[in-house]
Amino acid sequence: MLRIQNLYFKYPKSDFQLQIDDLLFNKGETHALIGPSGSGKTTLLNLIAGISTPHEGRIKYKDIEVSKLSEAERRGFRISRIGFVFQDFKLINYLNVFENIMLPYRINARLKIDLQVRSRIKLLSEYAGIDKYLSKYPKNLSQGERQRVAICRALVTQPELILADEPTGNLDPKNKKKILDLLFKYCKEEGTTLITVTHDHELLPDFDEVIDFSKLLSEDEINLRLNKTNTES
Amino acid sequence: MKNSFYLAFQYIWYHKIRTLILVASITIIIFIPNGLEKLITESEVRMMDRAATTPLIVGEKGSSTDLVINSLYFQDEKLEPISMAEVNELNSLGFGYCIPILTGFNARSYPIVGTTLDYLKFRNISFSEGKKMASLGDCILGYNVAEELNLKTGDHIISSPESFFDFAGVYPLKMKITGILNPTNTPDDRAIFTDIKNTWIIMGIGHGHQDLADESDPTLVMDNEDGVVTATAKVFMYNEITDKNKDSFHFHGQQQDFPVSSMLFVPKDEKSLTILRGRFESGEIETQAVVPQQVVRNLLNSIFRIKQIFDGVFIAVGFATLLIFILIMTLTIRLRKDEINTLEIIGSSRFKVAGILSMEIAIMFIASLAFAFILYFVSGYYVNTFIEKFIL
Amino acid sequence: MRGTSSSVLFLLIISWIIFSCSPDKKSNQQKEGNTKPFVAVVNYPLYSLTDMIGGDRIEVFFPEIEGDPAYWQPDEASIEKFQDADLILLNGADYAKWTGTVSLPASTQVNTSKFFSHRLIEMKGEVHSHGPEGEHSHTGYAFTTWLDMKNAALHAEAIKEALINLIPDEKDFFNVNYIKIIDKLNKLDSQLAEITGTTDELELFASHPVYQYLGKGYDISIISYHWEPDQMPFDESWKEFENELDHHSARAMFWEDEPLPEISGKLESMGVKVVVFMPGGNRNEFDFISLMAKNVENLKKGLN
Repeated sequence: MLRIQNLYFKYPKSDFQLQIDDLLFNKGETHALIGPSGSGKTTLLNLIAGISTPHEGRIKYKDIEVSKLSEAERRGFRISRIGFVFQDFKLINYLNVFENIMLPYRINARLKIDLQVRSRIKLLSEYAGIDKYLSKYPKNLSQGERQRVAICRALVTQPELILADEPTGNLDPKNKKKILDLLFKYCKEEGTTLITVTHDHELLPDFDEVIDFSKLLSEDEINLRLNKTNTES
Repeated sequence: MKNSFYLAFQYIWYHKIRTLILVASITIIIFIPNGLEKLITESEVRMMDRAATTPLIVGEKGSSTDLVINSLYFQDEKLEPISMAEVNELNSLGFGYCIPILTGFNARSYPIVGTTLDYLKFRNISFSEGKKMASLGDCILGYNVAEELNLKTGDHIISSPESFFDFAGVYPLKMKITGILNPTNTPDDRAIFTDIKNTWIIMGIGHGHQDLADESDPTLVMDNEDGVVTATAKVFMYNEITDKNKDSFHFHGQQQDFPVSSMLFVPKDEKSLTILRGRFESGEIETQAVVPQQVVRNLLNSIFRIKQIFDGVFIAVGFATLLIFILIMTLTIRLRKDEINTLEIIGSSRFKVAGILSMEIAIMFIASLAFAFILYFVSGYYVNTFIEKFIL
Repeated sequence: MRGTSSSVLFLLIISWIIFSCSPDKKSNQQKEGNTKPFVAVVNYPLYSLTDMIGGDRIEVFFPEIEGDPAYWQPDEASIEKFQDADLILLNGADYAKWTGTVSLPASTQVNTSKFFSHRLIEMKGEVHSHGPEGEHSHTGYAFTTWLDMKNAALHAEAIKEALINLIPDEKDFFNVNYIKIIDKLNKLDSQLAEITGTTDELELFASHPVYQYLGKGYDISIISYHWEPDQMPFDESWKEFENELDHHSARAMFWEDEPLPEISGKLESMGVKVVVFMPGGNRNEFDFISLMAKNVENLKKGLN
């Protein structure tokens, strides 16, 4: 599905470097990336999304080698296949909830706004329980509601892969559970892969897989999981 | 493009007050120099037009500017009057005819212009309603006077007792409105025209009162010695001229001694004008004759000099505004870095982001231009006010 | 982008509306058609003289007036006719006071007594005072100026000059007509001078004080009364008259119209002849020259 091999990335003018020998994310599974700050979890999300490109190694999603795409192609890849959820929601304050969810369609010419999109937004907002707030602006919503809007925006393009960077980081325990349940439920229903960076260890049992960046995976484990994927497919 | 416009518009609409301040500043900076230019050009055209259609103005010696301003714009410039004798004299020369003008009185703060019916013919003003004044006590209103005071034919207007002349006998006179003129876009729109004889009545030179020979009331007469009748204060002075009391109105003294502020001279032809001007220049005629075009040209030249200074100021202010605008936009983009970043992560190109930001600037500029454009055209309405307040 | 273009269109429409509503409508009031110049006059002598000089080149307007045109008060329609006239001929000498109390364009007015304004006869009125301007009287002039044929000729000259100013192309036509009239007026003038010149100090009575210019022009001393031709004077008036008769050499009396037979009879019995000398201020069956000729004839008869 999504496989990362022999990856090496380093930020210029920084000691930080990320090295991953081999990492595999299976379709429809939920993955939690944990580890101390600065261990490269968010960097990995950026690399997968094509926002940053690795110095060495390759990132392959299905048959696409993301690391070899041009910038425009990577943008196209992002918009058509990936949904993003951020810790600070990154909603646009001057757009109402409906327009915030619609945003991907407004900023990329590949996506056309039609009636289907509009009805999907309605369905998603009902699904996320924010259908009453469609005409409200983010400043009038609670933290939990804002993250639901952000999730709807991530899901509106029907992505195959959701990259969530600490989606529950700014939420109270009750909301944390709810948000994660929402994501899990959607991924299970739609067969979407979820890769989440998180520090909330109490939530980890709910994930299909937890990847700890403090002890990066050994080669044997990788092979084991590869075999498992082959058998399933 | 449509989506960029939509997002840009949403941003601008969300930040209404900030946008409004920016748009207003740009509007003002675009409008003021252009509007001023228009007002001055338009004023020049109108003033020159009015001046050009008035070949010669004759009045008492003194400031030629005051003479022209008083005669063309009915402004409250105190002019030493000339007499009707001078009007008659000029008429008798056979070079053309004079239109006497007597100003200095107001009714509800609009100037009362005492003249003859020739004035309307000369200025080619037609009536929007009613007809010419017929008898003493009648008047006609300029278009704006009627509009602003909401007066119509058949209504009355009373002259104010104050005047620029030091006459003791200035009585308020109730005048009947016989007609309203069509708009002309000239000071005629803001004037009340009446027969010059009426102005003399307002001045107290002419009046109407109870018949002193009325034997039924002997208390009217204080003394009657050798046919010299001295009336008591009981004699009722009429303040309105009606069909009933019309006959009692009379003037004291010879009409040729009555005052006139100035006169417009309408020459028979170019040659007559030249000869007449020669007579004024040689001192053969003692009053002053001015060619309004020359006086207005001089007046406008000084305005143009002031305008040149203003132009320099506006260029500087415009440049400063542009710098401030750039600064604001740069700071805004810096503040919106996070938002721009989000757009790029989600899948927007830098080009698209730049497009949205440019669209915001474009909308503000177009709105400013549009407002400046509207103001520019609306300012055309205020040319006469501009002329009155800033040029004269 | 559609939004932007529609806003621009909206602004254009708005400015067009503002423009089209702007009060810039100048209308020209021009005389319709190519009709004859319209000349308005204030009395019948002027009407007659103008008609004779102007002929068919002009249209002369003299309103239908009941009574003396000198004291006429025009109605609105007449005022409008005078206002719209191409030329207004005034008699001068304060005749037709109404012209001073209505609004008439000054440029079309011509005072036809302007050539003899220094010869006008002043009449003193009542002196009174009220208000701050002190003592004053309402003085005036005797106004039947045309009864002196020399004045009538100067009226005619002023009329001719005004008509030439009005239609310069018809100068010759007007001049020819004018000369014809002048000839006749000069003849009448000589006749009057001849008739009145026979006596050194000619004295005559007048039923009304309207013959000042006739008296002044032909050296006649005139004693005036206020007698109406259709009204028998009171006995007191007759007594007064009889007294006067003793002190004056006058043995004829001017009448504006034929007096009642009993008046004529009584006068005849007193040795005073009736001389009908019609001033003709108002419309009558004669033209001015014929009327004056008739008057001269009457005077001649009366003095013989």
